[in-house]
Amino acid sequence: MSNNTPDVAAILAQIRAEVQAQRQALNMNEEQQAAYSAIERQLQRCVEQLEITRVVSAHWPLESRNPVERGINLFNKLVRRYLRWYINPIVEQQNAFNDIVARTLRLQIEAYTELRLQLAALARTDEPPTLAGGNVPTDELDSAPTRTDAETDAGAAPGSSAQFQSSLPDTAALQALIDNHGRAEPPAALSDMCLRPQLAQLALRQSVNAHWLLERRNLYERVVVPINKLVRRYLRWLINPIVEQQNAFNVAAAETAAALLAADAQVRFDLAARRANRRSAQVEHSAGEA
Amino acid sequence: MIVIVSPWYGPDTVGGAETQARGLARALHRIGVPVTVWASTARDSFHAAEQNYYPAGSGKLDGVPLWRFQPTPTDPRGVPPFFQRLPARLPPLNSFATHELRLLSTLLSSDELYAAIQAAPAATRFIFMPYPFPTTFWGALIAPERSFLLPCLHDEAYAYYSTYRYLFNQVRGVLANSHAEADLVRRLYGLPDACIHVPGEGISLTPRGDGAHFRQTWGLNGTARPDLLLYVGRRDESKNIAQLLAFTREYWARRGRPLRLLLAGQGELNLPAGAGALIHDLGYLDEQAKHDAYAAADIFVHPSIYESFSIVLMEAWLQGTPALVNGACAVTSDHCRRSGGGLLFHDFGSFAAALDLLLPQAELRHALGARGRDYVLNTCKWEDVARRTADAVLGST
Repeated sequence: MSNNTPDVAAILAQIRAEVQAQRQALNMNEEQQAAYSAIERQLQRCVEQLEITRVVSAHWPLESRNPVERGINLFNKLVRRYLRWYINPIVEQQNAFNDIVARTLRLQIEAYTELRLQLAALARTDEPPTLAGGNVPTDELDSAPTRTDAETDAGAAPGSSAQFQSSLPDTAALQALIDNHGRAEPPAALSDMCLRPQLAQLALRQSVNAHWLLERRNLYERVVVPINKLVRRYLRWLINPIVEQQNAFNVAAAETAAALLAADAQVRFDLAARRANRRSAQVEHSAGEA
Repeated sequence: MIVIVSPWYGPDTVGGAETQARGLARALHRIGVPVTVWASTARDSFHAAEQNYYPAGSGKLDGVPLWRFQPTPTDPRGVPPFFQRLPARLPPLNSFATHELRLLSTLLSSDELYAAIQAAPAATRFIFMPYPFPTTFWGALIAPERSFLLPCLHDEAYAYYSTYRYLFNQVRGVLANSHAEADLVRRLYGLPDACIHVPGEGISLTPRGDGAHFRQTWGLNGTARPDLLLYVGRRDESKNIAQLLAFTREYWARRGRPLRLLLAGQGELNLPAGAGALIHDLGYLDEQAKHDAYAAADIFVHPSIYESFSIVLMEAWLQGTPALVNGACAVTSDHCRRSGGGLLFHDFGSFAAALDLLLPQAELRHALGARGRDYVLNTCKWEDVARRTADAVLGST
């Protein structure tokens, strides 16, 4: 085999070794790993479907196979073109809601994955390392400049601890210290942080309105708007029930997202409590040994 | 004569701008500046349905003359009917986006108030607050050469509306609560420095919190005395509460140290049952209990990025409690840099590192808290704020 030809057997062996290492790291047997893989594949498919289907279009192609259909479609296209002022804003409102729902569900899937990893990490003994046992050593500040009263806008008021303050490091030095140590902290995913604001967005967009104000800002609008109003009034029998059904679903979807978020929050706090207890026990154990 | 115009004004009106209006009116009155407050009969922004909570007409609150006006709806465009009588004062409506006018149409407006502004003597100077409300927008446009905005401006979506850009460029001057807010006014609206004043904001400097009493009341003593983080303010997404909850929970999980996050203020938290071990929902506290909570806390944490001044930060510093604020908030970050009374977090890493630094070191916390207290004592005295405000408003005639 030449040097340029990939060694397929070696690559496969490497992949198998990596998968095995991951399983061991997550403390999972093959059955558990297979179950989680299946769930995650299914979730990935759901994400793809959400992306494919979230946009509603009011302007799909109208196909014609013969002259009669061409004539009918031409008429239909004219009707559709005229009704854009009415139909398009409704569709856009629904698309705005769909967009937020899709994003919320994607975030919830990410949140699930994050929780699963936390759960797996909890089963192991190696919690991500923390900064020197959770303390920022202030001896790093010994060489930092100290703050003088003249440097503060406020100065020192009577009765303040000005003398003590003047021996303390400048706040900028303290800030630099925590910024520096902050960079060493293992990252936290915290998907739920992005999820909570989604609920407000869902509530804001869940109600699609078919009867917004038709403005008459110029001569053209002053002519057209009264006609459009009549058309809209006539078409209420057709459009309103569709919008109302869609709105009922939107409300149910928003409530489901809220319930899922509440469930997610419950699990997160339970997990955090278990991690905190374990960490506390580790610290006590270390202190006892010392 | 200075007239403060606020949508709401009452002894128990909730909200930062409303509290500021009360404090400023009282302080102007105390230093002998003739001042009157014009407001609506409605209660406050939290009780939108209570439009006639107070009787219309004249009255007094804390010795300050007060006049209340009935709210009235705008026309479908969002324009008060009063402006049919004053078409020359109408802004270029066609240059505003529909949703911008629609916002104004949904908020509290009063034709009676606009009529009073038009009829006021020429020597009257108006201070309108806060910026997004129709009482400010339409009211200031009636007499722009005598109008000052006390906007309580945040770097939020509304601040970018063309309606408000127009408003800021019409009035005589802007009164900023902080230097960072003044910078935002310059950046967003391109106003010259001469139009922007920074009188600041005051708080009551007399409260003394009893931290020990608070810890005892809430059962936070015990053998394993927990470290206390405190947030006071509205508990909703606009104050970035989700971030505070997530960061604190993760810090607790990683460090395992006894820790409590205390949340005081209005708004539903919807906390799960399992959160009780970490989070105490204090709800709305009366004034003394609030100051006790500040005094009891080891660190006051302020995750919000939308502030024009931050009364709660000053109140916490007054009790000598150091602060940890969101580095993305120009206003609270600026206060921390100027005072030396707090540190900034930019992400979870710096949040955790700041707690790691401060929680084990009581002396360092006390020193930072003392710096913050000095800053408050030197910059937040209401009488000084009132004098600076009067100089800006009456001195520029």
